[in-house]
Amino acid sequence: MAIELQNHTIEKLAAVVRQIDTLLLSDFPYDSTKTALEKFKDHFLGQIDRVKRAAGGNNRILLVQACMTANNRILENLPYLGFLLRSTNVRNTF
Amino acid sequence: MANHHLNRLARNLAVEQSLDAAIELNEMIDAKRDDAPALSKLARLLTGTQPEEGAPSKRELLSSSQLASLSFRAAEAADSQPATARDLDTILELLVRIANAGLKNFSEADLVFVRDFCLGLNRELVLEVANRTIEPAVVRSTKFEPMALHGN
Repeated sequence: MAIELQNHTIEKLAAVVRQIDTLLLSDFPYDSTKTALEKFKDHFLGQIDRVKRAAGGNNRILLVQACMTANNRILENLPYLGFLLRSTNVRNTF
Repeated sequence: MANHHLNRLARNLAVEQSLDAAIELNEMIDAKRDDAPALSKLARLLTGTQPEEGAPSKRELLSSSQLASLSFRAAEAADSQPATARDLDTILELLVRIANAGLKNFSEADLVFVRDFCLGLNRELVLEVANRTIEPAVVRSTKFEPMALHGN
């Protein structure tokens, strides 16, 4: 159960990081959007490290809390990634 | 201790800090490390202490109802038993000790107690973030009416 929870959370975090990498391939008119995406990427990579460290501690509550925190951060930050996506170069102007 | 030191931004920062502190303490209990920098940061954040100044007294901390309430709920969540005033007193005393001198002279029982408090604190803060009310889009939903139209 704990291993499944750990693996699912790490997979979800990895999927978010892959999504951010895809977004980073876009053209941005301003550097600030790219900087924000890189900060988000660092944040989620930090969450992966945190879950792995918690899993190495042989404490189930610690692992559950780390996974809960990571899932909560994904839920909280996904709308901001959507907002950043809309600040790529202007499309569909005609 | 500054007024309103435990504002929304600080509580948001404390989500990861409390978890990092719990991980470090767990590693200390397992004898994998002998320091806990994230715990010191968390203690300074909770007590509103700057790096070069001493922590406030327990009485001053208790005067902040926000910190007292949060600490009490975190102590309660740590072992799923109702927390007592004694638990709150113990955790505030330990926080002041950590903010002042780090983890010097801490017994293993103290480390376990602080680790459980950090986990309880993380749980409370995550729940707070999850239940946070989203700010309403007032500007979008309200028809814009210049003050001039009201004849003022």
